[in-house]
Amino acid sequence: MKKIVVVLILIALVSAVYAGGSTEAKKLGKQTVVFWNGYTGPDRPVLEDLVAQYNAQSDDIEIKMEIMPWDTLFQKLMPAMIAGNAPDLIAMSVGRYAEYAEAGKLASLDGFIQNSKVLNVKDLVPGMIEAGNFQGSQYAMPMAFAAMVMYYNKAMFREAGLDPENPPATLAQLQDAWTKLIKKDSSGNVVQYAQAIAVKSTVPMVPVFMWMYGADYIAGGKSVINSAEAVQAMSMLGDAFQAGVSPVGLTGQEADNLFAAGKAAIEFNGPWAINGFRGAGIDLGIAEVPAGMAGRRTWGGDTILTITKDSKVKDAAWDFIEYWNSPATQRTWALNVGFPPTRTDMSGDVELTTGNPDIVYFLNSAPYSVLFMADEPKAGRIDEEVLVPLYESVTRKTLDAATALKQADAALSALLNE
Amino acid sequence: MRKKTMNRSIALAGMRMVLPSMIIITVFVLVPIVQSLSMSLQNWNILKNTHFFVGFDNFRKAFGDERFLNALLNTVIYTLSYVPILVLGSLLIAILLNYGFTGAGFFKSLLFVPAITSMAIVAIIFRFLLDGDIGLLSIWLKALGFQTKDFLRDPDTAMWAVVLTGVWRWIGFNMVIFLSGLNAIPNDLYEAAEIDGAGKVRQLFSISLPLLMPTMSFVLITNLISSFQVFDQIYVMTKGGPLFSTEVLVYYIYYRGFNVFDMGYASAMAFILFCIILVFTILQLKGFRSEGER
Repeated sequence: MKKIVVVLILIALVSAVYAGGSTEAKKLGKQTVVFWNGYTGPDRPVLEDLVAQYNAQSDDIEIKMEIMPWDTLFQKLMPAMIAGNAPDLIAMSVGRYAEYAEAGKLASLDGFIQNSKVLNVKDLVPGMIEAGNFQGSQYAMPMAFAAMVMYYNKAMFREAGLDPENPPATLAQLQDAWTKLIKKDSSGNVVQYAQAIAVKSTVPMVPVFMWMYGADYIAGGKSVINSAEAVQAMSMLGDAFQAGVSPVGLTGQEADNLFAAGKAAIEFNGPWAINGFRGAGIDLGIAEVPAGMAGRRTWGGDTILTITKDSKVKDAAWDFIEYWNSPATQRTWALNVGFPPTRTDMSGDVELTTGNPDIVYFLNSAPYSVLFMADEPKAGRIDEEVLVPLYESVTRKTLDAATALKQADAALSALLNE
Repeated sequence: MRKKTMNRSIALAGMRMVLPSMIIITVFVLVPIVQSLSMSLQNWNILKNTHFFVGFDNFRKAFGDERFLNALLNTVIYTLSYVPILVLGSLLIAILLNYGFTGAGFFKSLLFVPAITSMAIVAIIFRFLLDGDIGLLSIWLKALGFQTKDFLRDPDTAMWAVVLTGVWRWIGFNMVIFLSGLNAIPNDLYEAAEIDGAGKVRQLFSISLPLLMPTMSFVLITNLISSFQVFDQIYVMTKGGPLFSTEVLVYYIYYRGFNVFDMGYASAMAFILFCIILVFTILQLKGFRSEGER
């Protein structure tokens, strides 16, 4: 009997300890919104400050943020959704939400948008809004918008006889710069690459070259990857890799490391990379991505906010989305992290452009940025099963561009019809 | 009658002792195995939570799936290179250290350090070390005048890189097992052999190795199972690339289960892997048993 009493007291004590944290907000009469995201990098303290400001100013809502690496977030998300323990609000890459929307795990935001008194979607980056619309319903709102720009090492440019103040503005100029920037040792081994071009686990770098030639991947739910323009683009890339412009098979992280180590002179990347490159001592130049024969297009996108379907505090989660996309929050975010704002009505914001001169390149890139397969539920599979093998086989010359694209077209069509 | 009661009480006491373990094994091993078998017979999208019975379709699909067959082949290649290198390497080191030369204790500790390090950490370190452009190994090799490769980015060398990472991680652990096997051999046998004029090499082949067979059997079976289940270093170092050259079965099962959410098909492949490991283990056990009987 004594033992049973002791066990019961212990259970009561443990329950009280575990219940303590979650009831704190309730005691204050606040609704708790559990918010998962993967901002583990230098942007974390800025996000934490903005959330703390929101919690301080809100009388009835408390954002309980759980920050974890993106990989971990996606590993935890599926079991959490199945077990009914999903967070209320999730930040995720714009290319990932569609599979969850298709599975019926996310809440439609149409009603909130219509009834909102402070947030007009027309003020937000149109591409991000368009990308967040899945089968006619809005499931995702912007959290961070980024466009890909061209980073270059000014010291390497000077050494190669290139003018660092006039970086390549067209594909032809870029190709000319490549030939001058490659350095080889006496045995013919490349000791300095012209550009670090990642083909896997990366933001889409190769698609930028495809778009330069006017090639595309999917249109109207069908594969359009096997076009004459795509053959031209992939052939050019295959030859460039063989000439030593970039090492083959790079991941995004490896490409960043190569550029930061001063082993590659150019890299296409987003605003999150700036601090790391400057921290590594690179004499950094920033420019817009060069224009191709089909015009200037670059990758745009990044992170969206979604509310889970089973959330019991959807209104509170939406309130945070409104706060996040307000001009004041976006100004703080842009000034401290370097991402351009999610709003299009801030391009004339003097405080913003003078406070962070780098931001101009991203703001200028926004109008021609393309969101890559954002509303495609199979985007992850397409990348892993079709695009990475295509890029790897062409850049390694295990297949010629025409054959590789023919195979990719068949694989992509099969996957889309699955 | 009294004896029967005693036996019964002993049996009950024994059952009480194993009951906690049996409950844990039932809940966390047996039930998931049965559930997994049930899933393998269904088309089960775990994210949408939709499932329907498809019989053996998932198993048939596996044997027509090029990527599964490639992963199976890669798993066999990994096993056939990893297990012999690891077992022979650790045996050789154990024999050398068993002679007890000065500093042997220090080397034992040094070789055991990787075994207490997380495989994910080891894999991250090796990924940096083996980088063809900024990796320390490549820089050293280049400084010595050797031609280097992007070990992990070249389909011809990537598998060797992950095999050697696995060997480096586990060689110390296996060495300790072999050392304990060698220490368990009675000294009298070596003394008798010495009196009969047998040299060190003769003693090794006629006493040490034959008496080490039970240890060898244990080491071989555990390493064979772990090599068929290799995942960590593949996930961290190559993610199955380049061009699927290091994609092994467990990685592909993980991909289908947790990236494509096709849990039915992933379970079917897991069952095929289970059967392969079972067959190999039974064959090995039989082989060692008949060796012991002789």
